[in-house]
Amino acid sequence: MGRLINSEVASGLLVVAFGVLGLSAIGSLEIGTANDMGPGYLPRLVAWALVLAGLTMTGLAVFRAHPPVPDLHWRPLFAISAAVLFFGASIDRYGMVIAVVGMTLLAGLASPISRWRETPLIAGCLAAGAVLVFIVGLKLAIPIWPR
Amino acid sequence: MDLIANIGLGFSVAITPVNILFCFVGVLLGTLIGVLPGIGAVATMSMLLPVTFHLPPATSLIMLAGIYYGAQYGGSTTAILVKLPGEASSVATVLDGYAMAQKGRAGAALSIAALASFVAGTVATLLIAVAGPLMAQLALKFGPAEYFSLMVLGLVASVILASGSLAKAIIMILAGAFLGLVGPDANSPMPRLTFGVPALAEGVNFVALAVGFFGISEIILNLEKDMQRVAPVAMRDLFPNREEIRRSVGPTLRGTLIGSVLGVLPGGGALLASFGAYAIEKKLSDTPERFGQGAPEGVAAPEAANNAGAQTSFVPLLTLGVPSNAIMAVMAGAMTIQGIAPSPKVMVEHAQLFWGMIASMWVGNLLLVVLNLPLVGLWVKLLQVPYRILYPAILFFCCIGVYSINNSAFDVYVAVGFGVVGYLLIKLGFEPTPLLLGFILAPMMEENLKRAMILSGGSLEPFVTRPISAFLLLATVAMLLLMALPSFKRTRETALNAD
Repeated sequence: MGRLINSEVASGLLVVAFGVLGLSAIGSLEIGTANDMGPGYLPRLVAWALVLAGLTMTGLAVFRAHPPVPDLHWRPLFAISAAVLFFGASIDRYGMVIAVVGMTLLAGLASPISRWRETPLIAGCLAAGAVLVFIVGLKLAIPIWPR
Repeated sequence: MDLIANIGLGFSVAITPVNILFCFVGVLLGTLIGVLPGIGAVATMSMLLPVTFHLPPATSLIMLAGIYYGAQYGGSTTAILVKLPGEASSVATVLDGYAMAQKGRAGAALSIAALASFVAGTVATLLIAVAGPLMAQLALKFGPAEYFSLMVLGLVASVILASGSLAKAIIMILAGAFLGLVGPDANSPMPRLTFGVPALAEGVNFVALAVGFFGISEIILNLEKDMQRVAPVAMRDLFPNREEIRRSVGPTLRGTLIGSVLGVLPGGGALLASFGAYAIEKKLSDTPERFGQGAPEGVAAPEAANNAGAQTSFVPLLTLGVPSNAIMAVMAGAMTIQGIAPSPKVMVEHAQLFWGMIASMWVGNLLLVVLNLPLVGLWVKLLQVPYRILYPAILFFCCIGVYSINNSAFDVYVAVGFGVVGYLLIKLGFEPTPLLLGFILAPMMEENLKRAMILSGGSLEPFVTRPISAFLLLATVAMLLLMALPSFKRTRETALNAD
């Protein structure tokens, strides 16, 4: 079983998934005709092309030897995603300082190269810099502290 | 004469203090990110798009353009000193540049790179000034069918340049195209493909897409690798000797020419140009075995070509309104933010912007020579900043860049989503660059296709009977055939995967 799912099969299946997601987004959009195309004409064409390309890719790859699916590194993936999500979720309500400090601390968990004594320092510098450049300097409408 | 008047107009815009300042900021930032590994021009320019909103149109485009060609300079510095091509277009420079550095000629290699780039930049600026109006004349003959065919050609050409599998590059274009079609549709009032999310009614945010794919996923990828620092080579003297200069003159001029031509082609730009010029010099040389061993020709040619190509790749965008690569897609985004639709009218209706930008490229190239030669020691020091300190800062710029376009947290979440998807795709060998081009071109293609089909009553005939359109489609077919040739496949793979 492990042999069957190589990197190309995985790629193909991922592309099929994109195509299907696309088709579900299209729903019942009007197709129209060639000389009066509806909003659904081209999207449908592209989504089906994705599904077909993905299926072909999978079909061709199942019977051939390809490199195995590459290892995913979950730690940076989760920590970096969490850091950015935290920034998005907190900036409106809690302001720049908390968003930046939280983001930096979470991002610090992403890799063993970060040092726990340095991270708060980086967070502080970034937060101060962010406030100075973007709020004082460029006057973006972002609160500094929680409101 | 028109040409002189136009260039004069350009300089009158480019030499205002504000524009020189932002040109300087642009090339400085560009050099910086060119030197630093793990962050590219596309991501940087995308992150800065919201900032440019506060600047006048000409100033913002001058700064963004500066980032692009500044990055070429910075990329070559690290290519020569530490064998790290900061940008993809400096990969060809690594071969001989680093070899020269190992022989104790690092300073000479840097000077040759900077001077070749400067010469190329000057010539390319002049060429754009001459070719621009001609292209705009041609653009008058363009109807929807021609535009559609040109964009098809551009997309196919960009596939050739994507490293990795051709099939995967085509799939990335399709995926990008689909994302580009989300949101408004020209002919019907309802936004489409949004899953009912109101924030998507205006379409997927370009900056969120670019920052996700090129910024966030890049950070994740860098963190799983061991980012190793290489000690830079010591530099003795900065000046090339007479022999090295003599050997560099011809390659510089030929590189400029090759770069200028390849830059204008759809899908072209700095990357194709540098590889092409390097290959041709090696073919022309009486002593091809010296290449890879520290031949000055092997530094001068690709550096001249990538700079010339970087500059002439602005021509299709500014004269036809069609971006030919991912960087130009970002520039098109910047123009749209400023309320200027990329189209053939730009040159006439925004003459100051057009000529100001062209003149600023020359100013920027001059600034770069000053920045790069005396200050090269500073850039080398910068290389020593460890990634563990750098990446939180880059991540912050990603966040603030995406958020501040619409002060929208939703855009930030979209960027995270694309970051994760981008990480998966890159791990599986998909390259994100064609996706960006598909994203930008798809709505334009749909509009032109619809118009062409209405004009022809649903027949595909005009695409092949109108001469320009037929020519463009023929070129597309030729390119596809070329790609199918096994020998071309091999060359492309060795060129793009060169270590």
